Amino acid sequence: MASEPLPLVEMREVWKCYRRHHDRPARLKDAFLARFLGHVHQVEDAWAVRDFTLCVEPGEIVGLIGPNGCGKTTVLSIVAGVLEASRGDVRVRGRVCPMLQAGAGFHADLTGLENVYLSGAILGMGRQEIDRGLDAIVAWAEAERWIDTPVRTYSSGMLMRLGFSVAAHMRPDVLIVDEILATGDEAFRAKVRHRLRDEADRGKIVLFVSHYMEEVLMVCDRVVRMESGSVLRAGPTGAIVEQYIAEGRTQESDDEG
Amino acid sequence: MRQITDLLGILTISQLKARYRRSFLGFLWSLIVPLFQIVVIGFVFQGLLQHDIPNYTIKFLVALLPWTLFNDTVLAACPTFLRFRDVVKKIYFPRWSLPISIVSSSLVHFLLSMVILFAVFIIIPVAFDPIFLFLIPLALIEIVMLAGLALSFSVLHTYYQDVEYALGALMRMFFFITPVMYPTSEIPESYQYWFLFNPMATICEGFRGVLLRHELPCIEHLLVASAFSVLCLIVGIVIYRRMSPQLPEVL
Repeated sequence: MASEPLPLVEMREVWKCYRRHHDRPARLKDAFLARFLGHVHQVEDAWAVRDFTLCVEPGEIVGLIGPNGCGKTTVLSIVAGVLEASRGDVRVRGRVCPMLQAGAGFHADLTGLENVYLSGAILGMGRQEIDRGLDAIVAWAEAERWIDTPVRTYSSGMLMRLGFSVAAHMRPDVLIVDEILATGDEAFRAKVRHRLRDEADRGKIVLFVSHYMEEVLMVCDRVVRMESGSVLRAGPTGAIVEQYIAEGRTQESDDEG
Repeated sequence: MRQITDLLGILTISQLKARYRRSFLGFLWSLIVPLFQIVVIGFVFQGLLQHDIPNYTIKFLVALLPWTLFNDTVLAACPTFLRFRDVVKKIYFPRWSLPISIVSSSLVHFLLSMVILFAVFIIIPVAFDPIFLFLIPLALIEIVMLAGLALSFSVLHTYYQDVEYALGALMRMFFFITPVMYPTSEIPESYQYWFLFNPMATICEGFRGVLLRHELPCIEHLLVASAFSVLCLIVGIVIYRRMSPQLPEVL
C-alpha cells in the first residue's frame, strides 16, 4: 500500500469552451436545410472555464463555491475525465469517483441490491469487488430493510444514501461531491462529513461543491471561489466564505434599495 | 479486461431483468408477441388470400426469430445514451458498453427463443441434424452487424432524434423486402437476385434452409453478408470514435 502513488489533481491554466449552437440542428431536417440551403446557424463560443488553475495535495478537501453557472460543474467534469479541456494542462492521478445526484444511474425497476451492482460496475468496480464490499455498502447506507425492493419506491433521501455508499466504497482516490447532499437529513449529512474527513485523513482528495456555506465551513480545508469561469479568490475556508456571504448581503440590500 | 466483461455482464443482466420486471408474464411476452404475429399473418395469407404455402407457420416462425433479434436490437439501441444521460454526463467509463449490452441482452433473448423453437421441433416433430450447427456462423454474422448498427444509431440518435422515427418506418419496409413471412422460392426468380444485397435475407432464408431443408446458403450470399456485417462494424466504430467524446456535451 505504501508504494501506491499518491493521488493528485493538478489543473494549470485550463480553459473550456462550449460551442453553443443557437439553433443547433436537433433534427435531421434542420441539418439538411443548413447544408443545402446554405442556412448558416449561429455558433457562439461560450467559455465556461477561463484560465483556471488549481492544485490539490493528497489529504485535502477543497471546496468550490460561486454563483450558478460559474463553471464549478465543468471543472469537476474535467477532473472526472468526462469533458476534455480546450486548453491547458490537466493531471489527475488515482481512481476518480464522482458522486451522483440522488438516484442518477439507478434503474427504477431494479431492486436496491441490483442497482448497487449496476452503478458499481459503471463506476469501475469488478463483480468480485462489489461482492466483497456489498455488506459494508448496505450497512453504511442503513438500507438492510429495503435493499430488496425496487428503487422506484425509495425516497430521495434513501436513493442518495445508497448512491453515496456505493461510490464511497469503491475506495476512490479522488472523490467528487457536487451538490448531492441537499436531500439528506442532518444525521446523514453529518455521517457524510465524517466519511469525507476520514478519506482525507487517509491521504485521499475530496472536491466539494455546495451552496450551503455552513456545510462548506464544516467540511473544507480551503476554498476556491469562482466567478464566470475563473478563480476569483482562493484561500482558507473561513475568510473566503465570510467575504462571499458578506458580498451576497450587500448585493441583496442594493437590490432592495 | 476483467472489468469490462464484468461491466458488460452486469449491464446485460440489469437490462434483461428490468425489461420484464413489471409484467406478470415476463419473458413469455417475447414468445406471445411473435406467435400472435404468426397467427394474424397466417390467417391473412392462408385464410383470406388463399395463398397456399405448405407448412406456412413453421416456415414463418423459423425466419421470424433472427428477424426479431434484428428489429428489436436496432430499435432498442437508439435511445440508450439518452436513457443513461446522468451517468454519461458525470462518469468516465467505456460508453460503448451501453449499446453493446443492448446487443448482448437481445442475444440472450434470441437464444432462449431458439430453445423454445427446438422444443417445438421435438413436438412436431422435425428431425435434428448436425447441419443445425451452421446456425452459429449465421447468427454470428448478424451479431457483428448488429454491434455496428447499435453503435452507429445510438450515437447518431443522440444528435438527431429523428433517427428513431426514421428507423421505425424503415424497419417496417425492410421487413417486407426480407423473406420473413414468405420464402424466397415464392418470389419471381428475376427478383430473387436482389436478395444477395440484403444480408438479413441471407440470414433469414439461411435459417429456413438449414432448419427445414437441411441445406446451406450459397457461398456467394454468405460472403456478401459477412462482408456487409464487418463493414457495419467498422462504420460503427468509426462513428463512435468520432462522435462519442462530445456525447456529455450534447446530451
